[in-house]
Amino acid sequence: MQQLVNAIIRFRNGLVYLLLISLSIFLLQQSSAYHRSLVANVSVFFGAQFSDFVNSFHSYFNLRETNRSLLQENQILLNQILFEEKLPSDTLHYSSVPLQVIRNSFINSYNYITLKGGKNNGVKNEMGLVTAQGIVGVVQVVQNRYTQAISVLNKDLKINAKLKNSNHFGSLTWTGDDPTKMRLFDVPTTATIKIGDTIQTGGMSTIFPPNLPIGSISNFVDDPSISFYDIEVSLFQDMTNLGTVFAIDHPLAEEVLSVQQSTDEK
Amino acid sequence: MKSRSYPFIAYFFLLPILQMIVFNQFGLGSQLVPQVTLLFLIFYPTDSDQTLYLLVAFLYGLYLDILHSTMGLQAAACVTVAFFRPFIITSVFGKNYGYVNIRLQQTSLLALSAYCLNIVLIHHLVYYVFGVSSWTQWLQIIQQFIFGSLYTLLFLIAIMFLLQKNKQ
Repeated sequence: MQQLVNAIIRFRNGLVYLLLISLSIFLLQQSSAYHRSLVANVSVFFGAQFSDFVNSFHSYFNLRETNRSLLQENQILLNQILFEEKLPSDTLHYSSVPLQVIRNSFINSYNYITLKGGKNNGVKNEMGLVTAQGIVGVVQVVQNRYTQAISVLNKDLKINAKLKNSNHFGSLTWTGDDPTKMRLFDVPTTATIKIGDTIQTGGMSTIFPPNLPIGSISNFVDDPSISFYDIEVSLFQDMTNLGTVFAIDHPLAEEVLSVQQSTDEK
Repeated sequence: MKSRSYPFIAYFFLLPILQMIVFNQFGLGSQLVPQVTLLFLIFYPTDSDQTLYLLVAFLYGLYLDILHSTMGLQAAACVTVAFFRPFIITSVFGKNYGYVNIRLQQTSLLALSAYCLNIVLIHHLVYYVFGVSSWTQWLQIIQQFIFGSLYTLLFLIAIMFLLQKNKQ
């Protein structure tokens, strides 16, 4: 017994190291939504207010760039009003909440965005985040004044997307290398595609409305051994430069989810 | 508590904040950021209790994880640096350094650079290897590890050089 105690005392640093590294890996590998949101909640609680302060400092020096970005957004919105087709009268009327990005990571494999604005502004869980240029992320944790969202630059996120020209659907995901590019899988090789074709949201969930711009095809692989393309998509939205984003509220989200849930139970 | 601990308590809280405000702006491309927060682990007193150092490094990593939403990645990297630091110190400075602290003014920049290189390599190896989920991107991981380490080392050497000049 004494020898065991002596051995533990002698190798205590090694044991403490093993314990702490195991704890770190445990935190890192937590894939369950509950644990991730628990850690994210702590992170938002402590980190968001500080990031807000840092952001207010930086935003002062970025006014020129913000102004340019707003002008560009205004132009896109004006073009939509003037030239886009009028929506049919039975189309769902989505509402949106503007949120300011106060922290945006893009150097990790699992990136998150922290936003100023939360429950007090009408933000709800699983709202999609967009800008006039494209999609940005999905709301994950909502507190009263701050929100954390999973960035599209997060390997865990899979987005339903489609080809603008042919309505073939696929699954859009980030592979963790280039923040300007994502990969679209599961588009059947029966679809005719070419470089430069536009990719849009598929609208098969309550997160993003259909037909929102995402990016354009910059490269693709047509492997004859499998019947699906591997498509590289260049994002329209520069994910390394986010100012104000909009959280999209699906008007019938709760109804759709309850119908899906009851179908799944059957 | 010894009075010499006070500056390290301040460094513990201030370095990550300085990283967010200043050094995150030096991101090269979009994937490489100089991680100068490592200065805390590098200059933490070498004659302090190693078990306490491991615990402090873990808490420091967790603090960085909370600020950057990295979910345990920095904690793993920092605690690994803390575990291997005694071996690095012995190999770079010799056996006496377990009892004498590393002082910026009294140590040559070349020796400090070699010491930092080892610390940075261990930290970045854990950081990039644990940060990926797919080994199909092994080439990208190696690239990020090499260039990320060099970039961080460059900043650490520049900061130490400026501090040495300033104190002289």
